[in-house]
Amino acid sequence: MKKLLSFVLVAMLALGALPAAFAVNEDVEGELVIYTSMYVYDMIDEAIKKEFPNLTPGVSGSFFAYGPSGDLMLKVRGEMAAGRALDCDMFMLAEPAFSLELKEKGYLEPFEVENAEEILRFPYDEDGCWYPVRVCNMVLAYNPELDESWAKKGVNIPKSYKDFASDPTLKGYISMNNPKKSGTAYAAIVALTDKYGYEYLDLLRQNRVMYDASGSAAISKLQSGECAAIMILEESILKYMEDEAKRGKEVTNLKVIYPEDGVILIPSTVMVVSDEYSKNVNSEAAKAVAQWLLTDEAQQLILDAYMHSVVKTVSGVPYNSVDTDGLIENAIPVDWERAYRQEEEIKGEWDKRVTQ
Amino acid sequence: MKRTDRLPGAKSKAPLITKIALALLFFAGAALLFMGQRGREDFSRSEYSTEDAYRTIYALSRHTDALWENVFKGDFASLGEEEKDLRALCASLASSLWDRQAEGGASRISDIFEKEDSEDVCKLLYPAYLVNPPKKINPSNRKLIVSVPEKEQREFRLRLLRCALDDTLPLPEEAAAAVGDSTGSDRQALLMLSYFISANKDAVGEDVQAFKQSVRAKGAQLTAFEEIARGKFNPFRQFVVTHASAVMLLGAMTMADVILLFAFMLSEKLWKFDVKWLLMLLVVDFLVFFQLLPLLVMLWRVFSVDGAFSFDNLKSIYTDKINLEALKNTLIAAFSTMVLGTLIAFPLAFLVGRTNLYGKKLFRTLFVLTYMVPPYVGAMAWLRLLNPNVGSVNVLLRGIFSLGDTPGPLNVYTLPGLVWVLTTFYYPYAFITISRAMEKMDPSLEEASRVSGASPFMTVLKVTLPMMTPSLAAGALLVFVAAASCYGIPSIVGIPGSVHTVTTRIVEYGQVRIDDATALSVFLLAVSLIFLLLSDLIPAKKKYITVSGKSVTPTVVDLRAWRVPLTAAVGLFGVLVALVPFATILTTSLKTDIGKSVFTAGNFTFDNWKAAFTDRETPMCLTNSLVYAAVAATVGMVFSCTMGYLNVRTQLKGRSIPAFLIALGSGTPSVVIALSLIMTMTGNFGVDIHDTATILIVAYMIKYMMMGMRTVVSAMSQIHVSLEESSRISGAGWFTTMRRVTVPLIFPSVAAGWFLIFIPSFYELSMTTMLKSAATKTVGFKLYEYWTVTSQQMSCTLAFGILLIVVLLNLLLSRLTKGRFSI
Repeated sequence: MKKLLSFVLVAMLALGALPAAFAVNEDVEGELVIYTSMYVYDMIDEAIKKEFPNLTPGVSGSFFAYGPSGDLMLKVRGEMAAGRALDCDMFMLAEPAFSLELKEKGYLEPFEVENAEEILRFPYDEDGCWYPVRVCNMVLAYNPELDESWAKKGVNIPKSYKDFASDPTLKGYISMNNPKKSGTAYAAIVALTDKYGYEYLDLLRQNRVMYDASGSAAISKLQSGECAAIMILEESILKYMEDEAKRGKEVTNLKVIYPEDGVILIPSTVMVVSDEYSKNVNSEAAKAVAQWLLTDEAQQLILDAYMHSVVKTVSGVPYNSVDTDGLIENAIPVDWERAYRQEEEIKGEWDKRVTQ
Repeated sequence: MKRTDRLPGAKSKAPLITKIALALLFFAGAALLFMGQRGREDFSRSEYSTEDAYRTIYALSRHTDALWENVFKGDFASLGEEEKDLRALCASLASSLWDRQAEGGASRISDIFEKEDSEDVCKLLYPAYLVNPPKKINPSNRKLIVSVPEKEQREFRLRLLRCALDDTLPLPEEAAAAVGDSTGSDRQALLMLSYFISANKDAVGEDVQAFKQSVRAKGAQLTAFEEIARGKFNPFRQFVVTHASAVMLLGAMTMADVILLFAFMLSEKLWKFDVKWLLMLLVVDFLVFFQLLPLLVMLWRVFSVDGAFSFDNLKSIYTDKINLEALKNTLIAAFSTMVLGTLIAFPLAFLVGRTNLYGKKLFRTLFVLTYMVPPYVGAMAWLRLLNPNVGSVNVLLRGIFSLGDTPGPLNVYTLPGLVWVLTTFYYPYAFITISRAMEKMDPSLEEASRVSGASPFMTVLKVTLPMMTPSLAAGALLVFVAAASCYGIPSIVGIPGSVHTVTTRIVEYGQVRIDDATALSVFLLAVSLIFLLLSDLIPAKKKYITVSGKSVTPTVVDLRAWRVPLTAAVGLFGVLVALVPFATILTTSLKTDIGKSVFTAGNFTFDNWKAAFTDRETPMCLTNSLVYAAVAATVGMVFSCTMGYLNVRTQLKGRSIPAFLIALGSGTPSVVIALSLIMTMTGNFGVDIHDTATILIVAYMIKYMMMGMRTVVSAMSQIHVSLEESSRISGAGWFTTMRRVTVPLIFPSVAAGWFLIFIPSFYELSMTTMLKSAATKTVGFKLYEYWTVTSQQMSCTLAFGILLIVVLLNLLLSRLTKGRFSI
């Protein structure tokens, strides 16, 4: 009976709320293009189409123009260098450092998110130029099926980022994304060099870290036994695990290690391009979509895309993950100002200490 | 009149007419340049952010004028005494709107209102409300307003105007929802907006968006609205201003073309408009505009600091230790790949093309297979075979030689590893070029050598090899340039082992500092230029005519006792470089877990194939790739044939310019081509092809046209001019000679050239990533998407799919053209 009552109540609330929400979003019209580095965007794309029935997506029928963060940054910088408007109206990029740059160069339009301070788990721009919209979580991963084989070789599976770089048994058996290509890998390097100093890079070199252009290449190294542990975004492993489960596999051969010295949380941001530089001069629509992305409903889709939610009222976690607030408590902080201001220096140190 | 009718000693007037025509053309170009310059000045005074603004404003102005004459004027007049009040209301609403837009806006309106006819202010309210209404009317309420039947519309509009003037009057039913419970000026504004919507049902969001896009700055918007209201546009001025860059460019190019033509005519003392010259100018213009201009713009960024010429950018880049290492690695890798690739390609081409080796057709297909898949996919396969820890070949070798569990003995993440993978992917460039030429070779010289007592080996060494020099040089150059400017393989094989090349450094730089990326690419440009000059020097010393008649059937060398062992050796090579990597790609695409054998229970699956080919984007990506690659290959071959003919068959001065530009494009790193196009093809030089299929096609042509041109040039250089001369002497015109003699002889090479452009364009990645829009996604990018984020299995699936498509296409065309049309 209780269940029935609560169902009726929820249904009534939903029905009551629906026309109001619909009426507001129906006013949003025109074209909109969003540059994103988020691979799993289909669900959100479909949801925007339903939520904003008068908004027209780009020519391909999708609001999202996808590209890996490094490639997207290269494209955006090319567009900026051309001194013309950008080819998008919104950004959903990997990490806030690029948001700081875009803000400083005047490309962004400030917008308000109601009660932002109360609802958001992560800091946002005080002028409203960017807000976190999803959380990418940099972790370690290993292949439990090969535990025995690694043990036979005397290789220890790392428990922390420190082990990852400093345990000599892992020498030649570790991999991570190239921080000069991947925004999230760069964020991880910023956090780790903040915590352990640039010496962390020396350790990575000593342990002969391999740096790949993609997460999927790193996963294949883990599966094949080429590497014992990899530094990777949690979402890549979670997606893999759910895909495996869907195939009916009970025990997955990849597992996440939540490092003891803390995970690295990267609050990926949403930004609205100012009318002066946007493709469709439709900042009003972009703001409406950006605000909607921070609603509970949209955040649920972020969870479905294997990322953590930035909104406090969304208590769920991505498939097979752990509590978001718990992760935040133990996370290694990332100094985004440093990530932006000292990008050249940090990448230079990477070159000097790891690449050379 | 026949030529012989002319009296001896009579002077033709043609040179004079030609010179006058040239002078007129030159002045026309100068006039265009001048007009464009004036247009530019007008534009910069207008404060508009893009030249499109003029076009949009002009269109809106005409629209507004038409509406005023046909609708507003009549409606206003129908109000009688109240018309004056309505005009005053329009002025007041416009003032308030203006004030919201910019400080001092209201006083601007009152100026207009006082000095000009109030009609302007009323007209002005329409576009201003269309673009920036103070209150919005949502689409459903808009639908209600336009739902009023045609016959009742005028009455409906008049009621709206009256309601705007008198807030006690009841609202028409259809407008009630739009106005809601607004009062005062908000109500008046909404009623006026409803009036405009009703008066102009066709006003669509596109007009508004186009206006906003072209007039981005708010201050400039006010000027634009004013201009629209006053409608003071001169169509000619509007055209020149909106096309200022294009007009200037057309003028400059016309002048440059005239100067070139004059130089050609002067050098040849032939004062007539020869079709060959015009063709060459067409190609030159294309290359200058789409390739040279963007590169020069990029180079200017490299050699300038704060607008002044400087070497500072270059200095900082070329003193960096890692960059120097990358330069060294690039040179070593490209040179080694070239040498190794040519050393492999020549004997293979000879064995497959000129001997009685078993299974020649099969081998031929096998050896060009690696050209048909994206290099980064092949690199992935080699990674799985040669990685030091668990690479299949290493595991096998460790087993055979009892080497224990230590990594190795082979390591793909090294410079030799990189050279090996590059060689396996780029030797087909040399193989295709050499084997085509070999098939067209005149056998009489070899026969003479054999008759004179030389052994087959000595004949190859002393006769075949020297005769093959142009093709060898062309093939080697292709391999070198492709290997030096390759990004996919070094990014996968080199970077994990800290083996950097110039291209990987360029891409890394490009994400942060584009100018540094460009500065580094200067090296690749310089290297490709040097190699281009070198490769031109070699064949220039001697003539290597190898085809002197149409029915050429090269002698087949009997391998005798060597037939079986050589077949086995070639077979082993084929298995190693083609079958094993492709089998790896295929088996990977059929696996659930990439780490386990495909035969492990539960690991075999077709899910990846199902997922890749039911992906909603796959059909679009495949169609795009097929169309773009086919267009690039076809136009590219038209250009290549033109250039090939001019280069080999004429003594035209400056004929090497386009060939030089084509080679320069090929040696330019893909990422630099893409960046330079983004920076210049966005309307700032009169052409805006950003985010279109055209920009991709242009990029593919620039990058891959050399493959086509080299193939055609090398084929053409082996066909003796006497064949064409006999045709001309027998009375055939130039076109007939081309159609009946030259084209049939070089057709297989043209077909090969077409494929050589088509295939890499089909799966191109580096440029596509930057130049594609959501609608122009290609299969190469889709594959990369799978590779970077989805799974290696899915990317291998698509890669194998691409391979199948290309092979089938090749086979199909080969069948249809009875073996004449294939690689």
